[in-house]
Amino acid sequence: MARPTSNGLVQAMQSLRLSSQFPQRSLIPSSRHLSRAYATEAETETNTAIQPESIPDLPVQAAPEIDFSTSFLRNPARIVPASPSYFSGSPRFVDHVLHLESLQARYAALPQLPAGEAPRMAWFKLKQFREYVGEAVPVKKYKSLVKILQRLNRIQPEMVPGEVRTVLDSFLRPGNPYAVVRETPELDENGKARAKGKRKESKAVVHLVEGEGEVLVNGKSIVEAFPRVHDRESALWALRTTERMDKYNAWVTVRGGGVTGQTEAVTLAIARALMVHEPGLKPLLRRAGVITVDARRVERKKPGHVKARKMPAWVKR
Amino acid sequence: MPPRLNLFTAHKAAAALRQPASFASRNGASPLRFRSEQSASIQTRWNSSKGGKKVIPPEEQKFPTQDPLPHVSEEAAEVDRIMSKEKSCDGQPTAPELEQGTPVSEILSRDKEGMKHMPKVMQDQLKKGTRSFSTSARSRLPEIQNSQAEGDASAAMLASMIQGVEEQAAERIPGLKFAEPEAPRGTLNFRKRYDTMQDQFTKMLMQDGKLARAQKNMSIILDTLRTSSPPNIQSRRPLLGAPPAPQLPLDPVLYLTLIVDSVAPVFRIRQQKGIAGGGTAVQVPHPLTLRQRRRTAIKWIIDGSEKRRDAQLAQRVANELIAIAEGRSGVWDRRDGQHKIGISGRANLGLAPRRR
Amino acid sequence: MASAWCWSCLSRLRPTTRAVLPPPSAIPRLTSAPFHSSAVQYAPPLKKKSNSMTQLKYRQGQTLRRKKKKTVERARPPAPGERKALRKRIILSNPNALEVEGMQEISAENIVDARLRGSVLGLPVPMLDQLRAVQAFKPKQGWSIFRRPGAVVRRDTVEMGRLFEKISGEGDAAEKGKVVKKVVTGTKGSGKTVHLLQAMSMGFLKKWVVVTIPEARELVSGDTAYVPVEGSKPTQYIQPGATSALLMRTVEANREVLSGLKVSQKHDIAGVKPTSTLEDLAKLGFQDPALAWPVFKALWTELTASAAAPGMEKDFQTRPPMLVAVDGLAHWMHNSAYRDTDYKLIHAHDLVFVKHFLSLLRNGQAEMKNGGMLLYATSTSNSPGVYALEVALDQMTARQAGIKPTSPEYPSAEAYSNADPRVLDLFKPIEGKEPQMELQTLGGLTRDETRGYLEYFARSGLLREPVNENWVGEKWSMSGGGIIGELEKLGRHVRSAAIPTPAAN
Repeated sequence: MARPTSNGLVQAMQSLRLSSQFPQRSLIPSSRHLSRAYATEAETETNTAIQPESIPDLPVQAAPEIDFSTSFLRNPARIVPASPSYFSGSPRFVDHVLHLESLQARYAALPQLPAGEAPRMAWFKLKQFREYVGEAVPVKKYKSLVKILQRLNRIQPEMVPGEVRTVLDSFLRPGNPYAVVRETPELDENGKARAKGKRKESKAVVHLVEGEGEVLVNGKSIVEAFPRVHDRESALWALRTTERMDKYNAWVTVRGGGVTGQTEAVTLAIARALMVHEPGLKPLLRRAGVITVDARRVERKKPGHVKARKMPAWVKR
Repeated sequence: MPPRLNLFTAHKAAAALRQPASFASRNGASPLRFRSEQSASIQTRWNSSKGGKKVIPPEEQKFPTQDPLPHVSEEAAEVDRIMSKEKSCDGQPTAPELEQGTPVSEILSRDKEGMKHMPKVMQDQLKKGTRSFSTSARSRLPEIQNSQAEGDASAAMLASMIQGVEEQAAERIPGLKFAEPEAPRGTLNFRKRYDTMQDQFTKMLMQDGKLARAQKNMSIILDTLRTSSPPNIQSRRPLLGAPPAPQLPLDPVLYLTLIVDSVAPVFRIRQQKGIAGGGTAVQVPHPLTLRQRRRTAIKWIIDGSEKRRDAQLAQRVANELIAIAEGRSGVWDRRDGQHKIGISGRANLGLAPRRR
Repeated sequence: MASAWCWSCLSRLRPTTRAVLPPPSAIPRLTSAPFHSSAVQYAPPLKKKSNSMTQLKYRQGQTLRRKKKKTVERARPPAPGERKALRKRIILSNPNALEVEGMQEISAENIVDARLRGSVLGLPVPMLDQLRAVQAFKPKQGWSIFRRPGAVVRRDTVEMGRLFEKISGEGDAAEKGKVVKKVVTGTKGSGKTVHLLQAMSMGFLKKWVVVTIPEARELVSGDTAYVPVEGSKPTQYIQPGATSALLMRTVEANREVLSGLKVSQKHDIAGVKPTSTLEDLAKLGFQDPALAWPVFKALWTELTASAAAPGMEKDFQTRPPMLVAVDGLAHWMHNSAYRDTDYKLIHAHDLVFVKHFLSLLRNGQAEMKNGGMLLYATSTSNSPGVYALEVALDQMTARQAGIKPTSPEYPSAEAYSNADPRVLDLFKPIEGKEPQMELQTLGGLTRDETRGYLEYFARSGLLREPVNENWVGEKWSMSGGGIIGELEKLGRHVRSAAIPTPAAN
């Protein structure tokens, strides 16, 4: 090499670059592949095919003659994305939607089940779906997708095309949460139903048997346990509205909390126990509000507040 | 990309479009309806997609210039048929309304003599005040239901038959060990077990979140209303829609409701700034909902009771309530004052700036 | 005037300067300063410290809190005694309630009629004054919502009626002169006091002498005067005021009976003549409370006398049986609120009055020669909770269930529980001697009785719900198995069916 002039250095660099062209060129497409995990450009295949031939030759070489007869006609002049939704904000999501819509249109004529009877499916949660497609899908758009899924899911099970089945399965979250059927509680060998209820800090356990309307709460008469008429009425509301007051005996254990909490914990527990005896009463009990779980609890205290919400008083100095 | 227009729903739209034309052809006898239907079918969207276009058969096609009325001779024949041929047994021509099922009440409204003898249920229904709207705070629904519930022996027999059928149905309902419970009287939900009025009053009596105490006070109030002598109602300040005074104490909740509803203001006065200019506030009446009206009235009643000398809160409130029933309380004046301001402020209603 | 100096700044700089500096009030008046001649007031005024918001402390609120003016003009509080009068007021009638058609009155004939079980029997109007005199009505009972006072006939009532008939010497199995002793217990609201009231009304109907202690607590609460009895060992105490009140109650209620009976024994009380009636005798105790206890003793001997003293047989009439009703027995089973000379609490059993009535209860004690009934009721709403009494009542229950006192199941006071031996002694069994004490536990009404009682509410116009089998069963359960006090609450509990019945307008 020449002595290290600035000119010489430039020359050296140029020669280096030229000689190391091959490994560099091979790197570029692969990195591009990494950035786009899916095939959007139709030209990639042909590019990689041509390059190895051109590189071993001299650094300066004319481009090969364009063969109009074969590849040029097959490949368009401009590079075209593989997916029509390439230029939308979220191409993979739109692809899915389009695919599903086409399926829906294709199989619209298949008989369906009524809305409530379709098998329950655990679709991706929004967060999982976003990870799945790798795009920030808006809530509303995902909802519309789920709507199509549900529509497809309503096709009568014996007539579902395999194509639809595989597509639907690809949207299920791993593990089927609805596969586990909760065991319906049943009467024990003595004809006794046992059920629990909670409200505020109280927990109640009720043993309900057929009888004459005797109620014992913590081993005491209900009058001693709940001196107020209002509370007693609440506690026995399930039996009262269904006119089963004189048909069952209840043995109640209730712990924790105050009077209201204990009362309404008993309400819930009795209603659930009654449902074990007579499942047909469920709609009535639901309307009576006694099997609706009141999940409200005491609101926590926050720092900077005196209580949950109360702020300290303003003092001038 | 699929087409914007969903072909699978398009056929429904087409059916909807098709309907009026055929319907109109079937009802050729009623010219007015025919005309309206005809115009509707003309307004069909011509710019709808080709796929949805429906070919109307030539005999169903109607055009705007086509005469909507039947031919004069046809009409004359129709009139003749009504007037001469189709006479009832007493020789009177039958009215077309009989054929087309006009409600009896409509006929009776024209027949003064018939109105006197019509059934009580219908008389009750016809009896209305001069106002077209009701200011009564209570629903009239149960009254009607009650009157319907009272039936004669045949109705009872029918009811027993229905019950028998229902019992058979109950046997077939799975998951029941005993007879199916009847539809409960009043409310079913245990959170709404008390009368709305009573509940609202109780909650307003509550101090420091002590509901049990408020309920106790409420029961004392109701007991006091129940045991105190019937109110001596002033004709100047009557209770709205009240039964005779001696009956009031036997239904303390109704008594309480009537008292509160009678002194409840219809509107509140809003001090609106920026209408008149110069920063002066203008008094504009603003209507209140039923619950708001009652709330205002209850607040006034509790305020008014503060000045009483009785030791117990419940006793004070109860005495104030009785004073209202007898027209002695200051709550009436307060209500009247508010109404006076509201009436004088009526002119300002239009001035209120339109809210976006 | 505020000081122009910031004292805290100065003191921080030089802690000792404070003593050197002139007092703040002196500064404006200073005409000259020690180091220069110009007057202080010519100096430019110190710039006032800007009233900037000083740094808020952590967790300080930001809202302005003003003191609200209290404008509530409350009327003067009620006059002294008015509140108590209101609290103790007893109203026996509600003119608004409907008259119940076909309601029977309690009478000497129908008290044994078992067919009337479950129906409400009215109390006759003339008897109301007598019942009021013996304070049979209590303020918290629900008399005030009905047209007229009445009480349900339940199983216990009919049984009691039979006893009354028996002791009065009527009916089939008459046992004239029998004494029945009962301790009445039961859960709260089970109708113990009303049971006593029914007993009193039967007593009045059968022309018995009714002696009542409506509030046992008043005798031991230390509210009335007490006097030691001379020479008694241990010292005993007389309560003249309470005795006088008892005499008044008894005379007021039993005037008819007492005025028909003449004195038959010799008494060393001034003012007693051989011709005077028992009413006159009792009245002697009204005026002079000091005389009240001897008069009561004399009256008691007269009422329990089976024969006249020699020489006074002229107008001796057989004495009627007696009813003694005590409410709130537990208060007599512990120390009273009275103090002796050593400032020690006096046991209730050392009060002569209490002791007299408790000794009647004792097993085997047969002082009441003419027969009668003792009804001593416990109270649950006002009870001091005496352990020894609980044990004694348990023992009584066990004895009635046939458990011998020698058997291991027989309940006894726990070791180290300090159960009052005097109480246990009072209730201890004495074999072979009549009359024996019985325990009567009141429970709930049966469903039929419940139905009758609730129908009475409906017929009085207080209840606006159809009374049917299902509804009654529901109320029965809700009241803990027909506890009558709870049934009363349920009956008057207003729960109109969400929508008030509309009025015709």
